[in-house]
Amino acid sequence: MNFDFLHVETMLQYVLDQARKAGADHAAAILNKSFESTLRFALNETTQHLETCNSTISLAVSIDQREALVQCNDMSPTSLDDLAARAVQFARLSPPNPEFFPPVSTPDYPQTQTWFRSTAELSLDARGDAIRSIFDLAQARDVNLFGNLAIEDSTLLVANTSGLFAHQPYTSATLRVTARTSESGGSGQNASSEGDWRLLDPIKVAERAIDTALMSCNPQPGTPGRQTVILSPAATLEYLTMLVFSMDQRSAELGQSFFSNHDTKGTRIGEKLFGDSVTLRSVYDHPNLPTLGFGSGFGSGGSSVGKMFSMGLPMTNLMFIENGVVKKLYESPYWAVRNNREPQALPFNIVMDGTDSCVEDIILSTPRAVYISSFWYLGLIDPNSVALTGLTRDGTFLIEDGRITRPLLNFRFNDSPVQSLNHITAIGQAEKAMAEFMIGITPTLRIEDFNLSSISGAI
Amino acid sequence: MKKILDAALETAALDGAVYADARFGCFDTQVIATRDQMIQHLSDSTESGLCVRAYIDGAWGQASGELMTEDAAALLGKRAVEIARLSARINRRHLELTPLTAYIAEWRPPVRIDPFSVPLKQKTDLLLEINGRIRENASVQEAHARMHFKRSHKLFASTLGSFLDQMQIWSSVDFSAVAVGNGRFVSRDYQGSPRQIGWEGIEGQPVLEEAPRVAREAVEKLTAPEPTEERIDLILLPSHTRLIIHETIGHALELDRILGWEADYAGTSFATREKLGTYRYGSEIFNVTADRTRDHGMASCGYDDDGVPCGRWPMISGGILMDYAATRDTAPLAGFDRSRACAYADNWSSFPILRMPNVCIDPGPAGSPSLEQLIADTSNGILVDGMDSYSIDHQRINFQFGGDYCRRIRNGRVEEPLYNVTYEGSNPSFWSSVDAICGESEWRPAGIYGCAKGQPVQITALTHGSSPLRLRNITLRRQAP
Repeated sequence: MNFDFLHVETMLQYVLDQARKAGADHAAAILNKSFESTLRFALNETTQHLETCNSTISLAVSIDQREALVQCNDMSPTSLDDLAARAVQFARLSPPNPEFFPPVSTPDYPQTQTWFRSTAELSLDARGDAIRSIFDLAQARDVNLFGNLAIEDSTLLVANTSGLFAHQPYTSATLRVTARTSESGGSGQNASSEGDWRLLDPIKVAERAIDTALMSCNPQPGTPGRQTVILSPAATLEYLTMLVFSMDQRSAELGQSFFSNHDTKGTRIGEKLFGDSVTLRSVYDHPNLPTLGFGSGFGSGGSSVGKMFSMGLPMTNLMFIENGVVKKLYESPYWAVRNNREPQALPFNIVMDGTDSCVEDIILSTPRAVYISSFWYLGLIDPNSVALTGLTRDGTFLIEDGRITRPLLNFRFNDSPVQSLNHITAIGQAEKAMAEFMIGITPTLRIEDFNLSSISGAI
Repeated sequence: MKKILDAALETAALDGAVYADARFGCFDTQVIATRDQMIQHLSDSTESGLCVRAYIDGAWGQASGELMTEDAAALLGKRAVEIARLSARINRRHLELTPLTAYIAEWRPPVRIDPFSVPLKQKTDLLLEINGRIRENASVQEAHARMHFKRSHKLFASTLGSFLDQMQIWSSVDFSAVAVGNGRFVSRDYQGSPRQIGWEGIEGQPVLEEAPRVAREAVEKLTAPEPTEERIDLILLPSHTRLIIHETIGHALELDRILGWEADYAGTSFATREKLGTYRYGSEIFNVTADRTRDHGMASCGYDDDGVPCGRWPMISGGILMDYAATRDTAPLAGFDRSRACAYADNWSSFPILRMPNVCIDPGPAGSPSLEQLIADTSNGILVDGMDSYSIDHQRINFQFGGDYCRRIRNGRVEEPLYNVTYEGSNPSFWSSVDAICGESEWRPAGIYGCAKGQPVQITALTHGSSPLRLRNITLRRQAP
């Protein structure tokens, strides 16, 4: 017999009780119940179409600071009994964790709206209609579409032995579209992700990709070397992701980061490392980027059980860089407490402040530059300097005398956002963007002296 | 369990599926990660469920769920048909499948000691001892050691009458030393080769003996000079070639990319259909073989997740492109009448997609130089060990890779270590510059655990292998901004 989902709080409490009975001092349980559908397409045809229902429960326990984390997706009482017994058995076999962090007890956390009926109740036919409509558009404009429509309707529930019970449902509707011309090498990409299906406009998403594809036909080789570039908001977000991932407090304190001050053996918090126009933060309650009202700490130091014990921390907005000055680095809950700071949950998004300038104005004021629509396959070469390499993709253009004059073949670049954020000469409006590992709100950037190191023949 | 699978298939067939398959999958994963004398992460996970895939009017539909009853299976079969029907209504073109007959078989990997049966303390003790050995080097700031075990048990049944019972087991251990000084921080990894093997594969690795070397080499990197931007010869060890085989050959020869199916995410490929049989991919001594039957190969199994028997085939012969990795639904689109059995679903609920088989560079023939002879024959080069940074364009042409531990070769001798060595290359000129491949006695397999592809992303494991080899006149990139 399976537990009724409506009684899930009882079920979580049961798991915690079983862990306690088996000897756990502390325990936290996380249940994620999800429905996901994915419709993948290529060449204006569906290639995969699937739906999945699943529930997984994760249980973290500690006994005398000995810890273990176990997980299963069988919600039967027998399975839950086994889960608790296994967790405790493993924990007893572990050495004590010197970096222990106990479960949080959060009386309250902010409410954010992350679940929408329009997405949760989206029918199979409606998904099909949306995809058919963009196929029709593509055929009318003689391009091929490739991509993915993903729908998710999930609920996250957390309970722990400190009395926490937090839960929040969330939905997402994500459409990614790459448009390619049959011949002549045109390619454009666009993506949109919304909690509320009604805000996702498939035609608009596809049109933008198609427009870029048609603009980028017959690309010619540009000239590698250091030069001015203009990054689209999506390219900006992709470029900043590695920098954000390197903003770990503990790593900085130990000398393992660009944000380490090797002279003082401390961090570079308080130093002005970037241009005046650079302000970077994570925002949980942005109207266009709502996240759950609670979360967990993130960063090196402590254990994964400690991070799970921190699940339930109320979300807060975090300012990392303000007007070029490093204000804060993120840190694990253990590292925060060890250093007498409040542990904080990390919203997984990036917001970089923009201006009122539209991209057309920036292009108009640019004598010569390369416009980069997207980056691809960024790799961290040297974490000391956040040196990256990667490639442009899906729309690279030459700007001359204030206008786009021709499409270019893609470039490989070798540069660092640390350098680039000191070479910004124009910032545009910030808009919602998606990168491979991050979602955010980022502006168009004009960057001088950007190292486009070689040409890629990839279309 | 067969009754449950049959319930799904019967419903799908009754509702009109031309073909359907049902997979039960149970996946166990154990991960232990340590830092110095602390367990940072100890997790043990078991997940299982049922997945039904229906094919109607040339389109796929799939439904999966964690409930394992005949009624739940029947509902999944029904839903898979509904989804497939909708896909068929959207499509203008029917997706064809290669012919297939029924197989009833069991497949197990060559595993002597199930890693999940080994006491946890034995694992943690070994990891902590590795870290202890690393930290004996006073210049090392941190030591990290990890083990990862995964077991997948799949039961596959299809409306053709197949019933396949397969298990795969993977084991790996790796560790790293982190050093800080001279205004920089560095790490050096022991990138142990994960394999389809049991605990004996962990015990068989000289990890305690290797730990001090890894520590010493990390410290050497603190003061190692950066190379200048120049053109130079490279001698690549198998610990490094796995990275470039994977990125520049394995992915490039996936037929779904060649057809454009991955254009939105993973990318396409330059190695298009018309190049088969004539295109020069590498030098004349360059031969590459795909093989899903190799013992201990990470991608090895008896049958793929389409139910097609796995095999071995040449991909590049004498430097000429010969064949691809393919599945039942991609092969017909390229004019092939047979799949290469490369469909793989990384979880019970995942849709089987085309994944890379084990792809290896053949060793040189008898009489090929040894590594020692190759180094002695190189006047100005770099010996590249291990994987570091990697980046390649979406058609697998322009790439830039880095080695973990690289040393200068001067006048036939290995000399000082170098810091931040990255080189740039492009297909096909890169592999055409291979002028020497060592022989079979120095051929080594090297596994890759976390290859990501698909939407939603699926992770797979596979093995690459090679002997040490030399490339002439490759461009080094200087990274200091």
